[in-house]
Amino acid sequence: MEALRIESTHKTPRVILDPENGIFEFSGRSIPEDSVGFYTPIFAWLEEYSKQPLPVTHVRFDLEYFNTSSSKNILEVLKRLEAIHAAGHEVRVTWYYDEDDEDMEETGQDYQALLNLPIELSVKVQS
Amino acid sequence: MVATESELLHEPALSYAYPLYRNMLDNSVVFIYNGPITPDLIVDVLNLVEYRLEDSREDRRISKKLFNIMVESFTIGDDVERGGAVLLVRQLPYLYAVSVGRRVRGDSVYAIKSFIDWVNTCSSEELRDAYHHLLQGKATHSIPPHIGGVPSISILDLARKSHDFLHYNFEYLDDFESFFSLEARIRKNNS
Repeated sequence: MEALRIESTHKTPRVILDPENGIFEFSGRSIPEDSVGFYTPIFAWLEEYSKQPLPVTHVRFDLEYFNTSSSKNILEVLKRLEAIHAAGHEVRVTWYYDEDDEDMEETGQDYQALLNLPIELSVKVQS
Repeated sequence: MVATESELLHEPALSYAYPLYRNMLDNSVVFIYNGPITPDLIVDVLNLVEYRLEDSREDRRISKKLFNIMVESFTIGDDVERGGAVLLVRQLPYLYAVSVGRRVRGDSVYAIKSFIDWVNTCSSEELRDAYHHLLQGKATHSIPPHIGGVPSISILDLARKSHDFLHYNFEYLDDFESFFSLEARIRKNNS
């Protein structure tokens, strides 16, 4: 299975879905013009990956800001990961947030509450 | 096309500029925009506001919250077919106020008003529960996904992020439309 790599723009996140190493990353901003259009190929890729996932998948969310339209699509991404986890393949999600960004932390807590998936909230280390 | 002498003598911008400037100053308006809202515009506006905040050495916690509230306010103003939307940021000594204004159908005024009134009575737990419902796309009998073209989840999101009452106003335009304004506030001592 081919990796999915989408480079970031000033309004869409960088997405790396690497099936060989089981490392997924979403970083940057998410305020796309067409949120569903942006995330649909990601959903399709995850459906394919779920047929033969690695024993452990690490997922990193390191987002700067996003709107509620993207929140819904991120929830859909997480639901697909939840299904992989429920099928017995470990999925470890880390949700990074800036220590000054209580809203991003709260969003991570929302996803923790809504999903049966291990989501670790982690403060970003300032460079 | 060359302007006629008569046109040059009646340059309207000159008569509008000072009252506009004075009005912005009197109301502590640091940013105002009128027109269609696109993701590119959002990025440009955020960069501009970031520059101003750096200049005023605002607390990063407040800056982050202001940004997050602005991003969601844009969502309320986008997708407006006619006349675009108005966005406004006010900077007062003790708070920031982010306002968005747009046209809505006249027959949706009561529903929008009732929804915001209800949101303003909710505890943080009630807001969270309602937000979770809408985030999951679960229809509830009391909260449709959109009310008069305004996304309900965005209103809930603004209320959660601002930790304050949402302020609103409706201006009657004609029998079919009203102008809806919504303001979310960020208190600088917000904890």
